[in-house]
Amino acid sequence: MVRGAGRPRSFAVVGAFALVGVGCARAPRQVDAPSTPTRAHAVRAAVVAAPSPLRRLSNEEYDNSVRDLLGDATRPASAFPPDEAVGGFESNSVSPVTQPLVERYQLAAETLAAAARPRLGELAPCPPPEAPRACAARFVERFGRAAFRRPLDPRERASLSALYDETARRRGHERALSLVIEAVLQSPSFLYRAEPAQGGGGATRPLSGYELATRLSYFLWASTPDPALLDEAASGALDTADGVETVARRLFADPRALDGVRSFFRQWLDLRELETLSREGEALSRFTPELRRAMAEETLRFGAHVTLSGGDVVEALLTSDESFVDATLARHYGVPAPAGAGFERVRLPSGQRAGVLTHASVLTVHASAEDASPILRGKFVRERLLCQPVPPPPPDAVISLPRFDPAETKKERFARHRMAPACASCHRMMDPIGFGFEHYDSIGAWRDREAERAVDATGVLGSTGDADTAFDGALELGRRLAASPRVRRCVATQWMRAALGRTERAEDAPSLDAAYAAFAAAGFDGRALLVAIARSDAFRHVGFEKEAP
Amino acid sequence: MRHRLARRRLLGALGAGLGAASVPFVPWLDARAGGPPPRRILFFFTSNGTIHERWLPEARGERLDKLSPILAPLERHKSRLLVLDGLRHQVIIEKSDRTGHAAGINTALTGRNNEITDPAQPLHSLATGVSVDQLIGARVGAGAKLRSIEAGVQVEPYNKDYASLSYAGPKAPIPPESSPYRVFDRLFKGLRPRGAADPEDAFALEDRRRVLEAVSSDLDALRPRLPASDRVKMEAHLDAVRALEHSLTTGAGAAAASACAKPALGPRVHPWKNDDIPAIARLQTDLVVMALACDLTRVATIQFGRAGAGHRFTWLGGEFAQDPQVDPGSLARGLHALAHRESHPESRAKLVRAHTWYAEQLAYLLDRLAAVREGERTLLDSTLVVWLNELGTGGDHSHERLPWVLATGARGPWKTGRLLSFPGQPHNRLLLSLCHAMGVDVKEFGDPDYCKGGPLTGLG
Repeated sequence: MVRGAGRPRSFAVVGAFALVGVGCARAPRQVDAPSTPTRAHAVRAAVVAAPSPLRRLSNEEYDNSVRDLLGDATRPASAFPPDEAVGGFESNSVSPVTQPLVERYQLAAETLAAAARPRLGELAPCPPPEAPRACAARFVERFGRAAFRRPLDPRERASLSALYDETARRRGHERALSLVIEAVLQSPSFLYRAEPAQGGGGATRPLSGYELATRLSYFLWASTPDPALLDEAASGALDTADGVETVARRLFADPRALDGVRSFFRQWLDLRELETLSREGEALSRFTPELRRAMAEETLRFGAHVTLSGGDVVEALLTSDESFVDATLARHYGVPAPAGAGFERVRLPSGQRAGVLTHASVLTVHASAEDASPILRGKFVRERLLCQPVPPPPPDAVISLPRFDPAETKKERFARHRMAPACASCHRMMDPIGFGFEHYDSIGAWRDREAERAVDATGVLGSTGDADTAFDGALELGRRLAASPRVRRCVATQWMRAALGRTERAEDAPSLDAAYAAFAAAGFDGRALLVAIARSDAFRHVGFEKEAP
Repeated sequence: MRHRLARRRLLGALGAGLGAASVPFVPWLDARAGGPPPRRILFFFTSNGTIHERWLPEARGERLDKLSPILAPLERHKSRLLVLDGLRHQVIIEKSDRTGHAAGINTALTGRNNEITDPAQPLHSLATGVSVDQLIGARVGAGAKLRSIEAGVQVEPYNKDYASLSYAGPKAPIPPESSPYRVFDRLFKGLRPRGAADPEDAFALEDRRRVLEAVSSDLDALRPRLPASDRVKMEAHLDAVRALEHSLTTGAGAAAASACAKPALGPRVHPWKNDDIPAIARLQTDLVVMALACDLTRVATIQFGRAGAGHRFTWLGGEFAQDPQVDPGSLARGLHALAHRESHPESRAKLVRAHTWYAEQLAYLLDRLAAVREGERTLLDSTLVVWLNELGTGGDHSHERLPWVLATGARGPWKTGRLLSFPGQPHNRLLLSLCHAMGVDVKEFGDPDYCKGGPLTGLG
């Protein structure tokens, strides 16, 4: 039994300073000092929500949205520039768009509209004797509402109708409908998830039903709301936390929930990098496109499975000896290939693999081009599982690579990082954890020996506040991490970041506390965490910075 | 309101036919007998610093004498060079707590400090102001089809803070386009020689214009409803849509040279295959030169890799394929790894060869510019070429003695064929000089703390 499970506890202090970083040179922080129990029962004060910078659809969200709006599964956003992540999650909330991206939006909209041409009869039905103009008006209303995730306002209605009328005169009904599609898909009301300010700012307001429907569907489906969800928004069904929970549970039951959960794991575990990274040396020939795809698929399936099927999701994530492989990955792992062509649930090789830390995907993404990287793997654990960001190298770091001497062991070579005090304070946070993964090479294949030596996979987990230990190998590391409240809290924090598209701020602490408490009370069932986040004040409200008059 | 007015002005400038229901004019690709050629500026970026002892040319007084090993390929253009030694990224040295490759590329053309944009990932940061190429492009290139073009040679767009030399504004990086085919489309797609019009072109253009008009009105309507920090995003988006609208209806500029024609793309290259780098570099260079020759843009960038590029110079010899000297667990690869092993003789020799190859590419670019006739003169005469790097030396991430080299022909603003030394001077002063040379009269550029003394003295 995990400490703290089943007993709601508060970790407000963690929320407040989680982002300060491990501090490297400073003393390890005490992480789970509970706040006073009276707080939770105090009279409920007015909600104060943190500002949420304007988010632009991620490439995945764009692709899923046009799939659901137009039935087009060509994933045109794969040609867009990469997304911008905050807190590890794609939110496109920092940098404004530039002309090259606007050109891509235009090209994608034109391509999608052209592809929809043969299906216009289905998208904009117009049974005779109805006048095309009347059918078009209906299409504008319906398509506009679906794409903007709210009803059109009078100006938008007039603008799109005028575009239709003028084009229909010049170019005919079908061409005019195409231009309406193009204009809607390039509109900021489609591309951005606007949550406008009211009045002078500086205040918190609850989200409208439509805004909440949009947050919910992109959080749980990584896609646009369906008409039923927009109807629920209109009906007031999302006006209370209980209402939100009911709707969230309906969304879970939809196949699109798989997209949402897979999206979380793809971002949290950096799996997007599998598409682009390259390998060198001996691993190059083994790192086939099939293996690359299979690696990602294993972890995405596994993540969705353990999140949506109940039970302690953290325990399963970090220690489960079951996973999903196809023939390609089975060969890579040295387990019997499944009978069918696709992925099947299998038991992983005993003593070699258990949990996502031992998945080839995670190990490959956090490796150098030619070898395991204790730095990247340690940094990954520190930042993504312990929520302790590692600062960049200090300004005066002299980064001169020593000559590679194969006679030295890896630990001897990496010990140099920790000789200079400026480097030591941070590398101490990464390398000793990373050494625990030495049984896995640059593409996550198991090895007992490296460079004619038996692998030494002993490591040290330190400065965690609640899980400090020496350990041997990634399996033991996974078990240690699974037992750490800090790690469990961090998992909740990561989901919260994904839901909000930003890193947490002080205002979010009560929401994070409440979500964590509900997560723990439910025995760390993943669905309970997602519902609790959806119910939270931070999710259902938006705050605004005070503006200079 | 400001935007609506600006758009109206723009439409006016584009021709009265556009606003009406009549057929708008189609952008042509043709030579003009224009007036005096405009000034152009071209940034040529390579990464990982240099090796000063092998880079610094000899000079008699200021006059360039024997070129250094790294600069030797530029011998035939020696009289056109202005080699600048001693400039530094003062703003990074004094104000930044991050000093690596990313800090260098972010400050190189912005003259500003970086800002961490994601507290959970303090390794990433973006520049806090507009870059000099974009400022110049907005002024000098406003009438051209594109205000600027950014062509990359395998610049991985991931981690925009390592990829972007150009910034449209604070935290608004413009990573370069690494596909020559996409660069071609941005410049030449839809352009036809005069007289080869297809009526459908005009209809399609009118369609696009009307769609963008609807999009602009949505941006206008949403902007005032957002908090201030987000209104900036709507303004930038609107600006980009307006620029796109302009580029769709604009062909070769008034100063297009007689050599202006759609360039041939030749054998297919793979934009991300390391061994294709020389072919990609050629193609991007040819496209950019033709863009200038057709007066489609007046500001361009050719960027070899991201800051700290890890390209392997395999085309120079098999010994570049592997680095037996480098720990396989090291995160630095290729050129980047060599730079971080600069003190070792073998790595150093390879580094010199790599940087010399870059000088060869610059020499080719200057050849191409010099080959385009503009009346009595050549395209090179009206183009200011700026070779820059994100660091002084790569191995120790030094922001001192940045290896800037300028090149320009007869119409250039400065006396060339010289080596000038500006020890300890902030590079902001050079950025100011570039602005002034391009007719952009600003008193400060980038962080004002580093503009004291104004533009560099002694260039003219």
